[in-house]
Amino acid sequence: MTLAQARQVGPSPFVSRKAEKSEPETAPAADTVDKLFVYGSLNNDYHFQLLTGRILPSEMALLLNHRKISPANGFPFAISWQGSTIEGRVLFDITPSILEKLDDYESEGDLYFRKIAQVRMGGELHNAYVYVGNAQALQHYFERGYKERDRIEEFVHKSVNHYLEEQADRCLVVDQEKLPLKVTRELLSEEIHGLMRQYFHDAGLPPFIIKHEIEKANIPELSWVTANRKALRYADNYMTLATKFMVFNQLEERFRDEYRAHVTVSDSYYMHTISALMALKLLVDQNQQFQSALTQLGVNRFDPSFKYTDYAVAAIFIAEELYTKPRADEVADWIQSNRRVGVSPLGAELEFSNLGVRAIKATEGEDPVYDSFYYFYQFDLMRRGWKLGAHIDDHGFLTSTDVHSRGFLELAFGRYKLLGDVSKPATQDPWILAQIINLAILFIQVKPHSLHLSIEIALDAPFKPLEDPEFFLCLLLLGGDLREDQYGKLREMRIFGGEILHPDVGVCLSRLNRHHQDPDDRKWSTVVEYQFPRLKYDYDYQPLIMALKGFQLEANPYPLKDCRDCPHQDWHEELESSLMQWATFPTPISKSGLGKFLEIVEAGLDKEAAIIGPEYGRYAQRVLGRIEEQVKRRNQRISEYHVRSKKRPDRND
Amino acid sequence: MFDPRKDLIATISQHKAELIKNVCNRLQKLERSHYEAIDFERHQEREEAMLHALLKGMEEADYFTFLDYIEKIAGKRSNEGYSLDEVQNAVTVFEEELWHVLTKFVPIEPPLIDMLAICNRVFGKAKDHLARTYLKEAVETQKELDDLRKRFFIYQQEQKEIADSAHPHEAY
Repeated sequence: MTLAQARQVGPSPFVSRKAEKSEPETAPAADTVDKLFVYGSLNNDYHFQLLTGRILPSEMALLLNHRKISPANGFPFAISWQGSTIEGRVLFDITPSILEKLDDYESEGDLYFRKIAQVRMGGELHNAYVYVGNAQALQHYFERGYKERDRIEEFVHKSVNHYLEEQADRCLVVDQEKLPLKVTRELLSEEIHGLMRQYFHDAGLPPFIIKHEIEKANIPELSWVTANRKALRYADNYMTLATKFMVFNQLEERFRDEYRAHVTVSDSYYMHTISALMALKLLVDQNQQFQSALTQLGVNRFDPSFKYTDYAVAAIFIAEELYTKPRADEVADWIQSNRRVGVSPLGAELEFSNLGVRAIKATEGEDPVYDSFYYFYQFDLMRRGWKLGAHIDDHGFLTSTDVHSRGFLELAFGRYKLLGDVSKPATQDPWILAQIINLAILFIQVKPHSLHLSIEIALDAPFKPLEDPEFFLCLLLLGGDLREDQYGKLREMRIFGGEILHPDVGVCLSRLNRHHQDPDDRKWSTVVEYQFPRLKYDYDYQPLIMALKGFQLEANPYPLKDCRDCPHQDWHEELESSLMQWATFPTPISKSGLGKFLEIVEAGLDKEAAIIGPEYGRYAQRVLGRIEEQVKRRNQRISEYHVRSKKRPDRND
Repeated sequence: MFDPRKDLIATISQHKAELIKNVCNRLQKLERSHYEAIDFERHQEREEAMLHALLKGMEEADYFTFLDYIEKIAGKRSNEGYSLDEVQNAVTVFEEELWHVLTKFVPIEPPLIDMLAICNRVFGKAKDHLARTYLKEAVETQKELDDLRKRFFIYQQEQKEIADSAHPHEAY
């Protein structure tokens, strides 16, 4: 739309009758106006810079005969309204090129109309441009819960898409509109996300950088597979997993797009957690159809005639088939009615391996399904599974795609930049965390092995010495792995089996860790990471998460590892040795120890409830009841085991 | 008068704690199966529910309650990604442990044979039902996805035509 056309735009259908009757505003020739009145998203220098690359001089001002509407689930917009005013700023030195960018952002002529209106500034009247909203057109955004940041993201995506389209034409020739772009977006989604992050971090990026980054990002290929006989043996399973991740990615993006109000979290948290949970829920609930779709399209196997792009097309089709509005609404309602936002930022890492603890030292071919994920990076699976933080953990120091090693498939929720280990907390909500753990296990379909749970701690909360070693035993009862070994002896397998027992450092039950939130290391947080939990199918992790939270908030004990200034190392060594003894020969926890543990957890959760409110308090009490029930039930099992053992003639512990 | 069904139900009920414990411990040792990675207490809850349905089903001429339970479990496990083999193995573990309990606590006399025959019949039907449910679910899902298959087929054809037009076959 030209400036002349802009002036001719009639009153919006949403302009009030009062406004319609008002006298037309004085509109001087467009070329004399170099001011813009801003009142919403644009009235923020950071946003303005993101959109135009500039910060302009400004002055406080009042827009006359307009009213600001601020929908609860959206962003503010102005409508004409005789006699009303809007507070804001006038930006000076507006140029045609700035207006062109802003018109593009505001979808001028559709979502907004750019008009010339009167503003009062320093007691004088001036003419300035203003973007007036088209409420009917904006409604579509509000229904989906779009906020200012989402619109800016959409705007940046538009410019990224411009360069992606060039790449798309090279990647796939097909007669279906938008499919090549969708495929390219899927295959380069990690790079696109990286660009978006950088765009917001640097308050804008020059177009040539976007172009360069997209051009250098490679579309994965499969031509190498047939020449690699060893990899070929496992190619069916790797490509199935790759396609599964791509279907998941498609659904996650769809949920992010359609349910902004449900999925948006504060910038301190990982932005994909809730949408990932929604996508997993939709997939796991329809797992049978999902598996059947993979089979029927032939993407549950490696086909030498297929390119990676063909697998991506299949994933897009499957996602479109599985996603229906009623199903998506059900998932959204499920999320909405169960959320329990607490105060402590939480994170989780899940390890999977068909070989269990032998994953790290596995020999070639020992794992018949994935060869212990030796070819994970070659099949480009880290880029496919980045939203879930998928990588291989060989218990080395750093994640690197250059090194081939066997290990665990690890999902690290919130670890959004795998190379460089940059992460944000996954969530503040124990219910969300528990659900995503369970659904991820069902989605991955590799034997679950271990779980690390992280709780961010306040820097001003000093660690305290642990009062009673039985408290850790209570935690082990809740989250460890109590089972009979091959000889029928009851053991706590995480410690007894040497899984969290390091020859040099001892029992790695908990450790102090630092999580970097940006690649420049300017922002980091301190977390206590509990490494003892067993990852299991069909298990509700809420009691464990809440117990750890309550325990940490109230007792705040020194982590056993990596806490350099801990003055209780000797005591920790004794404690570890008693944990090892207990894991070898578990005995029931004393009533008083159990009682004290529950009191501590309750006190911690009460602190949280005092900040959040009574509804959270009631939830915490319910979970506390389940914590008590679970610990007592397992304690009872140990007692019964000892009674039976005494009766056995061959008892030999 | 000796009623093998009633005696069977009474014997199982009397020794159910031992039966459940043994089944759970064995299921946790089923390597490379979902059952291996399930908590003991969760197994206990699941097996207690199965036993409850079994005992109720044994009171009925057509074992309806038990077979209905098996059907529901088959649908659930199939959707959770358990293979038919895995679920059938788990049912076999339950059946074997039931035999162990019976042979341990009931004298080896004709009534035991009648009891074992009932077990054999009910578990035979259950496994048959399990397989049918798995198959039925697979067939139904396949039908639902006809359009998806066609859509991908069209895409593949299109790709083939594009490839052929780019590299026309050389004449022999």
